Amino acid sequence: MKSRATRAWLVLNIAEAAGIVLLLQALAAAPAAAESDAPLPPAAGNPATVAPRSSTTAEPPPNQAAKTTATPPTPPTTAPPATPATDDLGTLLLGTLQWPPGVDPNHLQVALYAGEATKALLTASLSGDQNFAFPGLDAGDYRLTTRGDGTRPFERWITIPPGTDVVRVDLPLIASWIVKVALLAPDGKPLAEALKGQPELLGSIFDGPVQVIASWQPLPAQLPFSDQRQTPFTVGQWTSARGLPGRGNSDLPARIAGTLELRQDQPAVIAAVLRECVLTQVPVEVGQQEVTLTVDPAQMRAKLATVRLQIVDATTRAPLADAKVGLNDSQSWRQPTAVGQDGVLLQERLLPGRYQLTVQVADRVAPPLTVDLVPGRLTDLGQIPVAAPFVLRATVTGGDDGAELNVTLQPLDAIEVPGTGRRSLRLGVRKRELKVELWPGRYRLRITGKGLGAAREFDTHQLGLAALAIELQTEPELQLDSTQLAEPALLVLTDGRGVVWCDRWITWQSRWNQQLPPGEYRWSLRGLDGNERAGAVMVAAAGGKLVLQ
Amino acid sequence: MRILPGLVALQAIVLVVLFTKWCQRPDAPPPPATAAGLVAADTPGATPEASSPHAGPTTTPDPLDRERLAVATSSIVLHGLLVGVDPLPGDDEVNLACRRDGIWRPAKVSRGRFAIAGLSPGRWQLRCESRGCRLLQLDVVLDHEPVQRRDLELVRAVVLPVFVRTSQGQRLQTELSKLGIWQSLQVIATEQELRSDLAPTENSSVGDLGVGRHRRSTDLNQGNDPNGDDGVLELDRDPPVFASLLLRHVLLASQRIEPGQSELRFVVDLEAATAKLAKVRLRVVDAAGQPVAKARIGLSSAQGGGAHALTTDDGTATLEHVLPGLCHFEVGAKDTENYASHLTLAPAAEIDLGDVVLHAASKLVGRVVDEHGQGVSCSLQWTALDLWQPPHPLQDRRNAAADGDGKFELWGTGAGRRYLVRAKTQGQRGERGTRVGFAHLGASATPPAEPPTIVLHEATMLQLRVREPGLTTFAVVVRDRDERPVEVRVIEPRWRESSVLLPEGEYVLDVYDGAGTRLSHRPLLVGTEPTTVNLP
Repeated sequence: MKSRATRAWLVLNIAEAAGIVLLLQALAAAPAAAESDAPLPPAAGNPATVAPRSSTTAEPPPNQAAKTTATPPTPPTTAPPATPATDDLGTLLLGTLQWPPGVDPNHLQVALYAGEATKALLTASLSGDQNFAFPGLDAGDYRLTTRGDGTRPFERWITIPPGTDVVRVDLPLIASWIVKVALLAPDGKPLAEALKGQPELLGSIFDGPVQVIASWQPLPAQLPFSDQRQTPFTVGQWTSARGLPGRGNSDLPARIAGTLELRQDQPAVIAAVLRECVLTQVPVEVGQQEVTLTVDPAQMRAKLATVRLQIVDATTRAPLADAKVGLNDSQSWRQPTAVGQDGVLLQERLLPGRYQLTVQVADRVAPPLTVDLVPGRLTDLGQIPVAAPFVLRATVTGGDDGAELNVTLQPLDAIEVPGTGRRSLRLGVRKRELKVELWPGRYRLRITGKGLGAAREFDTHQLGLAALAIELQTEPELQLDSTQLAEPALLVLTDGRGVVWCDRWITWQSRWNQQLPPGEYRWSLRGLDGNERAGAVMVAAAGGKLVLQ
Repeated sequence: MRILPGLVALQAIVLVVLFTKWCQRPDAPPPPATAAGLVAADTPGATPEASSPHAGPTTTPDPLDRERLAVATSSIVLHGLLVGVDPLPGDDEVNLACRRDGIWRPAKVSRGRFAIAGLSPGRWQLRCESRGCRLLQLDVVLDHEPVQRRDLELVRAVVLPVFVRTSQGQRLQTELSKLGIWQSLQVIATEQELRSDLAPTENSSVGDLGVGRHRRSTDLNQGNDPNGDDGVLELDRDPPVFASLLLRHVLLASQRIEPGQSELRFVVDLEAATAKLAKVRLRVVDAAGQPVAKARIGLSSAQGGGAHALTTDDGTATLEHVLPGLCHFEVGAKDTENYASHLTLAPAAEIDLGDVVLHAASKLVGRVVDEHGQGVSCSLQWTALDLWQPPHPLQDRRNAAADGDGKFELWGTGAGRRYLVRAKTQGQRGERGTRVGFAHLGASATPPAEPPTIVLHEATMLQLRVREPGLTTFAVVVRDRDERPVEVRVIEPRWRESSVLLPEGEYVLDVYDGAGTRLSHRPLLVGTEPTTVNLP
């Protein structure tokens, strides 16, 4: 017994001794490891690099404050005293996004722009964090913007003075006005449930064809057609509760179809639409949390459109049975449908709106067309002719051979098919050579690259087999600024000869550049209410700017 | 001998003092193993856990500092210069980030300067992968200063253009693409010669392993240039090293790279390469044993693509030129279930799967609730238990959503099958606040009167970490107390860690190698603190 107890004490003793040795070894090794892993001391002569000791005057400069009226007012950033900069690191801009309690913004992005540049210098997507840091900045004026679901777009001008190591800008985000939208059938059931088993009304969009939009004014029954899958005519951002898992309104009760995010506090109208066809609309007051829109599936069915057309040979007018016809918006693609033996295609139960018409038939092409399908009606396009194509060849010179070039071909001839419009063709250029099969006629060719551009009008009937020679010239940019545009508006830009350089609905608020030959342009802006304003803008060799408001 | 008890007592005091000192070290790892004390799971020098099946001790994962997982309220920025090479890689050619315990903080890089925001004090793993440079990996320890500087010294890598040609001088990738194989050729560099295939991967290639990176052009036209290269191999150390050409995980050729070598050229016999492809035959029948015509069959990688076929009138189909490896195996037909499983195909395998039975489509409806019985919206994934086997992953390609009242309906379920259904809410800004729940539910042609419920619970993050570098693949299967699977993670050599979100409770942890051999089987206790388990 005694020897057994002694053995036990001995074992315990040895075990403890081993533990002590191990701990001593580990402790002895620890300082060396800690030393090698320790942060480097500040570089000699750079005492300011380890702590933010300088900041910026982050209030917008007086001449720039007016340009940011679309963003909420923000308090000025406090500015600790500046310290001399280190030459090698530039200025470090850092900050934190702050948002009110209870708000959990998603998909936040911070972007830094040099002055009024429209392309961001640096961007940071914040996921799981609210801090950002941009290194290596030079002294100068910058714009700092944030955007994210659930928050209002935010912009702040900052000035980085020369010789500043660190600038800190904390950005207080403001929550958007979120309206929960219940989309119900007349019997009080959620619309999505009422549409189950009615595939013609569900469409190909995973959350159904009914979209919810917002406007600051009452909406007409029919908005202008767009060729997008869902209408861009909205001042709010719709997030369907029936979206992809992991994204969207995860905590909403089932009766809520989704949320509409409004980034300004003013009375609005909320509407349910089938593309540009308004099904119903109701007014909402500032701060209203929920709204109910009642949509009758029978009303939806009554809005569906039908199209009929016949593909014929352009010369003989004989029907062609081997054609396939595609009708798509600009964001979707569906398998083309074969026409019948008589060349006729009849498609029913289509969502009303604008479609791009494409025809596939051997060795022939159709005119580039868009088709506007009127709600609840049969749109009979009659005969669509197809003809042997003209093969346009063009060689492009000027500028860097590797530069990416964008090519647009705008048909100029009047369209002989009722119910259709002219569809622009967008192409890419490979190795500076363009080859494309065209419906014969007049076109305007526009090529743009990085700061280079060219435009040429031609008639295929007058072109020979030789390639068109296009020489790119340096072109300035017109900066278009729609940040103060309250409602969607149609912008048309024409030059002195009446050539249209831009003709599109502006439904967003941002700044972007459009490359144009230098010269004076007329502009006009027309809202949904028909009110129009117009003016002139000069695009000098150094560029120009047009603020839309 | 009477001195022994006193000595033991004295040593115990010394041990306590030393242990306390150890724990007080900044950023101290858990203490080393002692004969008398408990051993934390990731302790350096810890006694290896028993790895025999059914015989291991309880895994008591070491708690992580909860603060580490929380978003730091006082954020630290690490910034500095990229130095050492001239010219520096372009801003978009630098992939730099700090990570720790599942938190990942990417850097912004501008003109040779970098900044990483959102850091907190302590040790971080910094990883900098720059085009033309050696991979830089180091630990940085941050103190409480809000802005800290550390310049990063880049080292120019040995960069070798890679040419992979057939015996007839054609580009092997181009020739393989004629068989529908558009990717999957990859070169890896290792210190030791690779003599056999790696473990199968579900991805189209094994990724960057070893001591280099194979960068390939993303320009599709480049593949048509008969004289074009097949990318470059960047080496993280000077030759000699070994280069291996892989078709997915399958070794096609290897060679030693000598000092001073200016290019890397593989010549592979096309027939030998295509002989590695697999062939799969099967017959698709319905629950009554009748052949199913025009059933869609797909064998694909995680990135899609792969081999596809339709069954003929007698329900049979043959898929040829199938890339070996771990394939997602899917069969679908009108009015039947969405059959989804995995198959591991050996190189040059010719497999007859026999009859694949498609069950009739059924509805599996239920409700997801929180601990108070309130309906919760969340996403769901489901795996047919009889079609799953370790080390295969669970099904993660199909999702359903529970609506705001918690109601869900799973699509494509087969009548008579049992499913593991995993429900997960979206956490606020990442994984924080995420709630998860599991259930093993049966699908039947006649739904039960009372729909089953899945209860969501607050989840704790379980980090799975492979300590040893190497080329081993591990599959970790987390089972409930009844040993039914609830989660699976496959950790391939390119990643040495993964994580699982689990509700507090008792589990069983099985670890398999890439071939499906079980390496360990042990109980696992998950508490409310984030924990780490070291593998294997």
